[in-house]
Parts: sequence; structure tokens; C-alpha cells
Amino acid sequence: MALDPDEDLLRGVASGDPGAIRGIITAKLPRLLAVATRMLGDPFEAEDVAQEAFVRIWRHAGRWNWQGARFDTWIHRVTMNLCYDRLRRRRQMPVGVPPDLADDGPMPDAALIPDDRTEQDVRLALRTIAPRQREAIVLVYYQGLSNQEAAAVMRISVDALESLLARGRRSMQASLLKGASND
Amino acid sequence: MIDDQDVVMTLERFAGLAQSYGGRIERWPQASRQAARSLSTNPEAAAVLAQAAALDAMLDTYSVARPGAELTGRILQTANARLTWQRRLARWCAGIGLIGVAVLGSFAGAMVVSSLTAGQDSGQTFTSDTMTAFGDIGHETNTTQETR
Repeated sequence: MALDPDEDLLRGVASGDPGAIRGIITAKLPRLLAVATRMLGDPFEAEDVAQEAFVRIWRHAGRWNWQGARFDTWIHRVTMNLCYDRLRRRRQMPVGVPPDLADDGPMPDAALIPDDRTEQDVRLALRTIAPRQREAIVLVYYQGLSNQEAAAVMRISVDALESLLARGRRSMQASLLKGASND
Repeated sequence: MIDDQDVVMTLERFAGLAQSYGGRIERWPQASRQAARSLSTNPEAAAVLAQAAALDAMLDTYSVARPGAELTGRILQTANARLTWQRRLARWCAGIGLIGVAVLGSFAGAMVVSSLTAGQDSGQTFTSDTMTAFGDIGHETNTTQETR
């Protein structure tokens, strides 16, 4: 039995099986497109990133090391790297990423977000928070990766991941509240 | 592996998990869920969950459209281009292999002929007109008699 749930599919891709190629596109494309869209906030750039991620899959399928990382973890990492390349090109992030420190901040305030926040507000709020916080939220909340899988993708500890998640959600909440007060 | 029942859940840890993973305990780390559910009846814990759930509800409004046929087609084309290239490479390698086999075969043949010729050059002579490199095949009449 394959330990990695994608092993059979990837072996089929490596052997050029058209069914496996279609299968891996069906299985992974929606997820990778969702990652890139939420990271970049631009659906056209996200499509380019997803396409490039698949080129990497075709290139690596034949020499995949099954003893290493899970395929899904690897392809999320590849997609994230492609997103960061685009973000750097936009000069939206500093060259160095500050180290991830434990979150010792106070409990979030009790203010509740108004119900009339729209998808557009959320999309904008997600774009305004720090990329690493956004990455953590995208991987854990939207992609449904476990904390260990997400930490592996981000190459950080689970504690650092939880800190990024908490700060990211607090930033989102603040941004949405600010948007509400400006209405 | 951590047993769910071994996890001690404090209100502080509960709040920390809600801030990180949101208001749905089923999305929290597996090892913390049982203890968290036990604590969730506490009014303070319930308030923390409600607040996290409010943000979840906002986050859930952000959906991403499924990939269109055009993008899927583009990606399939990249796969086909890669496969075509791999097949060409495989054919090229097979061609090189066949040439190699042919060269080796020629070389082996040359070696056999060379060794036979060498035997001839060593002064070995055929004493009759039925003598060959493989021995004396005899006259046809003798052969006919032997088979009778």
C-alpha cells in the first residue's frame, strides 16, 4: 500500500499515463489555484503560478524521492515559492523576513465584526496582512493542512506556525473592523 | 503519539488554539480536541469560541472559482509537450542502443573471423578437397552410406 496518497498517481504521471495526468490535474489544480489566488489576490497571476507548478510536477515525477517529504507538502511549497517570487517582483515585501517569535500579545479585544462584511472586504484584508501570516492562514484555514503539514511547508515549528496564525487572524479582525468603521 | 486524554487544557491554551485555528474545534490539532470539547461548556471558553467563529464566518465568504477548461487545457498541453520530449529522448536513446549493438555485433563477428583466419595462418593445411575449417565433411557418397 502506498504511504503517500499521491504515490500511485505520481507513478502514473512518471510513466506518461494520460489518465494519471488528468487525474493529478483534477486532484491538485483547484487546490493550487486556490493557494495562489489567496496569496496573490490576482486570479490571472494565480493561473500562471498554477501552470508553472504543474510544469515542476512533470519535471520531477520521474525522479520523486518517496522517502522524503509528502508530495502534497512539496507541491504546496513549490506553489508558495512561486507566489513569493511574484510578490518580490511587485516589491510588496521586504528582502529579509523577520524571525518568527512566540506570540505573547494580549487576548483579542471583544469587538465583533459586523455582519455586513463582504467577500471583497475579506480579500482586501487578507492582502494587507504580512505575507507569512497570510501563508499560515491560507495553508491551515483554507487548504485544511494539519498544523504539522503546514509547518513543514513553511519550514518552521508548530509553535511558530500557531503564533503566525494568531497574529494573522488578529490582523484580519483589525482590518475588517477598521473597514467597518470607515463605512 | 499523544493520547487525547493526556492533554491538559487550560482556558489560556483553549483561547490560544481558538485564536490560531478558529472557532471549530474539529479543525484544531487532533490531540487537543477531546480536552477542548470538555472545556467548551465553560462560559468563558464558549465566548472565546463564538468570537473566533465570527471571524471564521467572514473568512468563509472568500471563495475561489474552480479552474476553467482553458487553464486545464493549457496545463495538459505542458504535460503533452513534456511527454513528447521524453518520447523523443527515449527513441533517440533506443537508436543509440541499436547502433551500439550493431557496432558490438560487427566487432564480435570480426573477432570470430579473425580467430579462424589465425588458425589458417598457423600453417594448418587441408589434406583433401573435403576438408573444411570445421573438419573433414567427407565425400557425398560416404555421407549417404552412413545415413543408411
